[in-house]
Amino acid sequence: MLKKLFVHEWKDTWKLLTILNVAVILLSLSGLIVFNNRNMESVMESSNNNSVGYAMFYGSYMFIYILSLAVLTLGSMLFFYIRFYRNLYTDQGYLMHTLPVTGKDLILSKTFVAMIWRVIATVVCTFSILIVVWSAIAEDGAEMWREMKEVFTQLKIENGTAVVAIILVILMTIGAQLFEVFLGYLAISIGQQVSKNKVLGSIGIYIGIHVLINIVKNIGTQVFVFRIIREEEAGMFDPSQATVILTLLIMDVLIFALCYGMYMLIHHFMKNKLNLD
Amino acid sequence: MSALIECRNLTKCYQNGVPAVLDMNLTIESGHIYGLLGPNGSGKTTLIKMINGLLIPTAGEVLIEGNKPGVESRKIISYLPERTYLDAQNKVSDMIAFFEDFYEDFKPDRAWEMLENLGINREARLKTLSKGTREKIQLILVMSREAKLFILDEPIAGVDPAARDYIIRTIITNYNPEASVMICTHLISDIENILDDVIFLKQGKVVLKAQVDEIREKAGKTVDQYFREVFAC
Amino acid sequence: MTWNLKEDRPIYVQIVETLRMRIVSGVYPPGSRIPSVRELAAEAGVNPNTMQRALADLERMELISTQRTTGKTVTEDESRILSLKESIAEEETKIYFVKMGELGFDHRQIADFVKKAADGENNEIGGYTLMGGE
Repeated sequence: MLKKLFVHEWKDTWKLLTILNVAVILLSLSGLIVFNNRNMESVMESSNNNSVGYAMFYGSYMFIYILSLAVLTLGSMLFFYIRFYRNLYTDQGYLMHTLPVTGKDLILSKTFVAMIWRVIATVVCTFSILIVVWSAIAEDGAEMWREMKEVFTQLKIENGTAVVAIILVILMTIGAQLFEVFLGYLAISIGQQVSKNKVLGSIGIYIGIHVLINIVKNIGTQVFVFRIIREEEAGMFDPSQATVILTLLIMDVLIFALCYGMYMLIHHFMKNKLNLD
Repeated sequence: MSALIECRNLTKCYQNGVPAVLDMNLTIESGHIYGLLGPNGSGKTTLIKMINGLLIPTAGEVLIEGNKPGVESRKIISYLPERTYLDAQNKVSDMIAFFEDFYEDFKPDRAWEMLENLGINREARLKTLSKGTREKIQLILVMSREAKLFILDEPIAGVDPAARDYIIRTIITNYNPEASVMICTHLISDIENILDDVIFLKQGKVVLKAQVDEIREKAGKTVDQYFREVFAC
Repeated sequence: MTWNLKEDRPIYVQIVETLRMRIVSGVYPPGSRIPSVRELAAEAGVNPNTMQRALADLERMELISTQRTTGKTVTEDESRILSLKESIAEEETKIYFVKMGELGFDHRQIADFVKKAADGENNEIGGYTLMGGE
């Protein structure tokens, strides 16, 4: 049943998400042309009285480009939150909650699809920015590719610990994404308990938990930095690879434990406190 | 005929403490068509939601073929809520495929036939159709399953009289002695001919459960008239 | 005989009456098959259980019988059908007499009314052609 829900969820969401991602890809590819066109550069240098026009052109390109990045990232996030709400907590809920599936299936299928698109969006954005920035900075296309290759070969010859660290960091990013997804879902399912205005309730809880997390993060960071400073003063500061790996590992475990807790809470509220209009 | 649904001391209180369903004991057997009747606020919708697992009881229990509401009970219950629960972005054919995918007992041929009889275009997008048509589609989807229990909440209220007759005929012809139908409605006179039994609810309690012909014989009235008597304001 | 069911009397009783009429008037000839429970129920717009109950009554009256292979058939016993026809006729006549009596007519006057209707020019009363008039 989980697979069926997943397929259904995918069918309902892939069109819009593909459009957003393709838009960003196309814009960043056109950045290659915009920034790396030798002819354009020479034209720009020769006719100074047109420089304002060209500045405006580059300016508007960057504006549209950055806008597309924002639309992709924020849009993906909002889209899946709204879909979760509409599909499970409005009239459609009468259909979804009476299917022969468990509440966990409903949550997991939506989470998987949302995560896949978030990861895709992150990858697309990252490479897109790389391409645009590189093409803006590099003097011509050939040099750009050379520089990129250098960076990648450098990464490869690093020792094994770096690879482990990178994997842990990637896991942490995924964990952070998952956390964001669950945060939204949790806010929505708790917000249903607020009788007066459920949407406001959800938004309020979302902001509330965000603020809470930020406070905890700040305190944690300060404690961490404080400890490092103390250790440095005592001459005991040893940023060995082991410590770094350990810290990363602890943070990974923490994030995923937190995500699991949130998942269980979402399920609890959905199963026991569901009250469709 | 076996007990399909059993409610034992079933109670549901909402957040304001008012009980919507109070200490209800009720048995629904297979092979009957029940009318679940009562004024607004009598607990009909709450009872139906608890049977479907959309609400958790405050006390007592409701068992479907001996099991608590869950995945197994949803496989055998076909529920038509009062709301339109279809995603308007979809086409009619998408919804048929959806039901076929999730419900083993769904009979797509039956659905196609009914759609054709009611003149509904299978490739139409739901958002282009009128509310009445969407309600008919929902009913067709629900009735095309070979479920053990059909729960229909106001199946004919938003529908024109000609289609009403068609729907009532559909309920009759789909009737299966192994299954039961529970119809919740205010339009008693339209459906009383197809009912076996009626259950009157008032303020969260069952005030009457009887066979319809029994009521007609003893009270010399139609069920509709008898209802008005019992629930006179 | 179309279904003309009033919901203030037990439905199954009315179904029995209508099916009886169909049998005695020849709509369902002796020995013929009658439609299935479900078809009849759909036609009448009633619950199949109610229809089944009515049919069980008719079976008890030995007007129909259920064969496993051929379904429900009307009895071939024409004398039974005839005697039922006669008892229905007597019932209706009695009702008619009571009504006319309430209007204050005596037997002779009632007989005159009946003769006038029977001799009526088009053999029609109230728009319905009497049977046997063709």
